Amino acid sequence: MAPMKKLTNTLLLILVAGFLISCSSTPQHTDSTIEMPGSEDSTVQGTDESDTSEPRMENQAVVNLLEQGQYHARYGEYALAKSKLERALRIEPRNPFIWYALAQVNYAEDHYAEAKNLAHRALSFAGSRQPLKQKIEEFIRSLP
Amino acid sequence: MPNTRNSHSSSKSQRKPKSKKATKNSVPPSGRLARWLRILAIVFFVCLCALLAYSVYLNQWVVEKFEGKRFSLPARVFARPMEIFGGATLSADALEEELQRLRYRQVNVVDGVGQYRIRGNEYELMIRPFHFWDEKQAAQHIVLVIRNGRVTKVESATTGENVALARLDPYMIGGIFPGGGEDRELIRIADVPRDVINALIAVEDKRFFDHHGVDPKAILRAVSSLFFADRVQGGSTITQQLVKNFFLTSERTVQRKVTEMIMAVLLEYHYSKADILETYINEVFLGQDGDRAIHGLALASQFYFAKDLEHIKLQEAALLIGMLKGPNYYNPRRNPERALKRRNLVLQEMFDQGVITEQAFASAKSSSLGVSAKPNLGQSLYPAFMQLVVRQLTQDYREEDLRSEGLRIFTSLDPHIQHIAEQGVQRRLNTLEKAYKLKSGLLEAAMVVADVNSGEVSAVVGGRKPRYKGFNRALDASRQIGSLIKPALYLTALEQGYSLTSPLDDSEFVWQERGTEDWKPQNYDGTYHGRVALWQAFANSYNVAAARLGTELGVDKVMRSVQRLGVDKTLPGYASGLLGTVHLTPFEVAQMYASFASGGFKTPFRAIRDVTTKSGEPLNRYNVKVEPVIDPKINYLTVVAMQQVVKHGTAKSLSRYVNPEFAIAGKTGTTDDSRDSWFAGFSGNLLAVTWIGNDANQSIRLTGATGALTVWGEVMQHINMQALDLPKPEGVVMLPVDLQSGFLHTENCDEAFKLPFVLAFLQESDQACLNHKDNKIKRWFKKIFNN
Repeated sequence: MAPMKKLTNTLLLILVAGFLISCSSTPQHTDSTIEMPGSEDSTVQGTDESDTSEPRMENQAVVNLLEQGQYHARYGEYALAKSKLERALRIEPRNPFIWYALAQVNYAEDHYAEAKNLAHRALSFAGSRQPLKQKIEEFIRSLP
Repeated sequence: MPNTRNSHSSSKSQRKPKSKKATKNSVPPSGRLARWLRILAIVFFVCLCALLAYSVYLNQWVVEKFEGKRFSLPARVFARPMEIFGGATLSADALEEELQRLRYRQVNVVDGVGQYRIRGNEYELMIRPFHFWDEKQAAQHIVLVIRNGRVTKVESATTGENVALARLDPYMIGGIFPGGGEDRELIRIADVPRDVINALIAVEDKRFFDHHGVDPKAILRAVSSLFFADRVQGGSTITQQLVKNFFLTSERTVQRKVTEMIMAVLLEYHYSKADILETYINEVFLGQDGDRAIHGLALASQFYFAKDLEHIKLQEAALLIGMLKGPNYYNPRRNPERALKRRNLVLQEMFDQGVITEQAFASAKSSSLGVSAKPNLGQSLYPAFMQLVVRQLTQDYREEDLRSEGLRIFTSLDPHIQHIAEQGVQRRLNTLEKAYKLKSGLLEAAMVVADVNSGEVSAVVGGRKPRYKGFNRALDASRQIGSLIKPALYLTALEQGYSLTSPLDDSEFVWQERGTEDWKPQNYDGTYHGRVALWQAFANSYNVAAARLGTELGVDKVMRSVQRLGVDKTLPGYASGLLGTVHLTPFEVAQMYASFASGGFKTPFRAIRDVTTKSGEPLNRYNVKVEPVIDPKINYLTVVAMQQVVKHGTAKSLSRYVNPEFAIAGKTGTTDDSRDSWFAGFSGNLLAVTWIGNDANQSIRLTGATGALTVWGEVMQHINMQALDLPKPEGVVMLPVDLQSGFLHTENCDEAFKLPFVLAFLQESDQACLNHKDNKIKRWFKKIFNN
């Protein structure tokens, strides 16, 4: 049963990672535009962005690292996958896709508690990206 | 047991003493000679047997020691590698500083690794190959352009193709050394340049390839050199020297010399010349760098010439070999003339023996020493950070493995931030001592800087003398934290349904508890402020309002919040703990504040990313870990309140250092009699905690704002920060607040100053402005554009 479960997990991961890459429109950084708290504009980073399903490759480095993470996860090289994703995270620490991909890898490793926590972190950066939010919420609900 | 004893004694009693017949007959002279000869033969035989037995013993020892682990290799510790990609925030200064740190050479034409060239804002560099945890990265020749502090283009220098991501080799920040501080790099004999071997053989043992471990001719020559001291070479062969360095002490006795010779012969019997030469080259001592001993020609080459042994020139090889005779005496940095003379003597010997041509000899002899600037590779480069690394490592590794297995430790240290922090701390302490007429040297300080999202520690300053390896205040100075505890207190209140504008009572307050003295907290300004809004009590750090609120909430509840935020410690249950009689280290405080900075997720600090074996095989990784510990809505409110501390409250003076547009969230802390001055603050990407105090716990006459805050500002203004712009969670609304009174506006809904509120906690009467027509229109527009 265990290998079967592992296989299912890996397949799921591939599917989700594929999804991530296909819509890896990384969130726009508002880091350079400085906004003050206390004003209504100081809202969520990305709240005012509309959800777009077409790929918008903003940072090729991040996209490449996500792909590499996906590749390693496909072959069960989870430590390497995480290492690539964390490298991506250092470039875009507020990218919900990367956090979600990390959650996926942890899921594939049967690290459900970590997977859940990371998915919540992804959710905290998802802003108003409804499809992504729904995916993550579904993922969290599906966790044992 | 008694039986054994009995049987033993009985066997003893049965044993008969050998009877010797006394012969007193006279012996003829020839018989006496024969007898002497016999005795001599027996003695000789016994000696031979003893020698043989000794040799057998030595043989076993030699093989065991030589076969087993030959060298203890220190763990090498690396800083974070610099990542280069289009859009990366990177100033030209920071890049050049990094390249210099990595000892890249600025050239006119880049034709080798470790070189770079600058043309205006364009940088061409050839990145050295490096074995990272995740991949074996080949050398990479790139061109990048930096404009206004950002990388605008990265492409291949050869094909012109866009390069998405490049990574510099990481800066080695030190090692975890075996006893005696022995440091070395290993090299295979096949990779050692011919010049090095030729120089070594010529000077140390020219018949190396002909003898069997001991060279009788060399011994005779050495004896003659006692009378004619003009020779370069000593009496010991390379094999003997290796035996001496490797197995024996340096005492000068006949027995040791004999042992050395026997072992040299045994070593030659068991191992090839190449094996012996390789071991010798990796073993030799070539100088001292502080408390680090430089061993092996490979490390010596990096240490003296900033290049790998494979790439050194003839004259450099001659210098290294020449230094073997007396690494300190011939140290080219301290005694260049002596070293030059010695080097040329080696070259002369090589020429005399015909291993180099006259042309090569002349050219090498006329060249300068070519010694590089002294590298900062010693083990005490960043001792405070290293202590943190070692502490985290010893949870998973045995200390002896760290000192001997040659592990490669990849850390999150950012040398750029570390340097700025060290300098900022020193500068501010000197200035503060002068400005407040404090005794010079009274002040001590500590600082921790970490990444808010990953929990990676970027810098640790353990005191005003950053190279001092002793007491690390950042990790070990457990001090009262004063008002730094207040965010946990207000967090607890907000979780209970309080809002940022809830009225608090800041009038005289006495807390009576059975078994303890009455507690009457005071405000710093010595007055009471009556009815105040929660956010203002927080921003102005009113003690009385906080104490009253804390006791209403329950001391244990507040302390549990502190623990939930990441403080793994037993905390006091008495009321004065609410005003920070709690003792924490700067590192613990930073960990606690990191939970606010990362959106309510506890993110355990990490100083280590990965560990590999010496050959680059991955061992383990330290993954990012997050755990939601605060409801995002409540965290958002708390962080906004902390931003008001900087904008309107006790930390207002931070604007002298950091542009208010960075919207820093922070909190000042001062303890009784001004013994401790604290500031904890964070931007969108970095969190830092600074502490100033005195080791003897004397008053330093500084508050959080006049002391630690200024260090924070001094340091962080020079570091690349991003504005704090926490994602506003759903269920939080912004409502206008009267800046003067601090309370919610219910009529003047167009007021510009707004604070966040948890919608679910809002009472009907507070929602007037929510239904205001402006808001309605805004929401209508938002709805349209969002859909």
